[in-house]
Amino acid sequence: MNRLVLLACVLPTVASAGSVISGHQIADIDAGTGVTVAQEFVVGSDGGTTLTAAQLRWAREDLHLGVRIPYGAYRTPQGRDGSLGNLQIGGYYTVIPTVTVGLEVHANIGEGAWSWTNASSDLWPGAGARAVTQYRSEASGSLTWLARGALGVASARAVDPFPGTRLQFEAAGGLDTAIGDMAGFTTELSLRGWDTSPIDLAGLFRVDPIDGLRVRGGLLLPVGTWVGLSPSQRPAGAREATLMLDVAAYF
Amino acid sequence: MRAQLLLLAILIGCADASESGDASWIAPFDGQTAFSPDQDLVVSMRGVAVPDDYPLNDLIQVMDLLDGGRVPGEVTLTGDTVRFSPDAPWESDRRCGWTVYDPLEIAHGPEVHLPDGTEGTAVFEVSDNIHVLDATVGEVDGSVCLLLSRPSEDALELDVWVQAAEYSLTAEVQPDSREDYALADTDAGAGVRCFESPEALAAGDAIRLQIAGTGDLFTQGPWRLELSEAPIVELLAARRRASLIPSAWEAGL
Repeated sequence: MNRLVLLACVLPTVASAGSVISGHQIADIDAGTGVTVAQEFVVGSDGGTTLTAAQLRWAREDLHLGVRIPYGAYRTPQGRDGSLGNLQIGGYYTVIPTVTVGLEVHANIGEGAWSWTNASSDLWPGAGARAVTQYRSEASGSLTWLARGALGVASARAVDPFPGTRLQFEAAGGLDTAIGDMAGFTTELSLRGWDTSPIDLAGLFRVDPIDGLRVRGGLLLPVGTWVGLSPSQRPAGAREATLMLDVAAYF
Repeated sequence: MRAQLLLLAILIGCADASESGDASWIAPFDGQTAFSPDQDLVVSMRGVAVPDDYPLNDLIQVMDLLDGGRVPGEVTLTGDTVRFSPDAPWESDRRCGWTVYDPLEIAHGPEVHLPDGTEGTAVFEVSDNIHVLDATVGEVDGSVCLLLSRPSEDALELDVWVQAAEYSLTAEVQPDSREDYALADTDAGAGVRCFESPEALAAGDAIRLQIAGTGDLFTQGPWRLELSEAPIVELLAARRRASLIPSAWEAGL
């Protein structure tokens, strides 16, 4: 970490064009036009599912549009399989500099990715819509508070553990600590219901190596699943975590 | 007795209709003979949701009990019905055992569990043999009714030894007005024969019996059976691992 601080002092200040601070659930929905490629690996004895997602963002003044396409690779009783997940489209409006509201919809475009990482609407075939709002505010020079709330309805093929049509809510809070001008560390706690992973604790390290490019990596701990709150029939126990990597470019 | 037989025939006729309900079952039933060489093994999992085309290849495994070894075939899922299709038609004069397993559970995947009682091993034969599978005093008053592994249009000559009463009898049992238990269009189903006992027999009594050879049929048996008090439909439902067959038949009436 000291090396990074030193690096930040030596190199010219990097200010990524259009980039915003975000967590895992608290997404960069109000960022500038750009593209993000993200990878999630569920590791551990209950792991094996990976998610690769490409996200396109378009922004004009206070309006933002995002399109995200996830692909899942997962285990089955006969080996590994893979499929496109649910296409996710979001439209957002920045009401005031700290608050953004929007509507997100998702619908399946794959043959059936019968798995999930930590969000029920990413891979498992289904459709739904939710209203979202996000908040971001600098608390001090290096601290930024983040929050997200969402409420909606989702429907999926009713194969256990998925119940079919369901109401969904999300609440997430996070804190980002800047490390110089190029890096930072974001922690986030999120609650969701109904969801396959109801309580998640995430930590992400971010670096902006050049202007307009952000690389993040971190770990998500599904503590709700660990303590048996997941709707799955799997018993309680810490048998999985999720590694996360993403690269975002802002134009 | 004729009226009871007619009622039974109606019950049997309703068997197929009942299968459109929420029942789970297997076919062939445990102990069935005269199984068609080109027929699939079927597990109906009514009420269990499974993703389309989700791989369930280990759900059914079949063993050739004559030559030994696993019978190769393909397991396919259509809706909530699983079928095992052998790579080649079943060989004649063959006895096979087949086992239905609960699907392997994968973390972060569909949680598919068979209905209670569906798992387990059953046997069937691609042969003309007739086996007496169960015997009951709960079907017709004063008579012993036998659940047979296949229907037969011929008269059967039974040699029966009743252990408790220490007597034996020979009875020629003719096909009567009752239909046999055909379970589907392509399924021969089960057979039922009844004979009147000269002595009062009760559930729990043991009998030993054999079918004397007639026509092309060699002597079959002997079998030692404990008399049940359940009606034939319940005995057959147990061998089909049918979850709701008795109530479905009642609903069909």
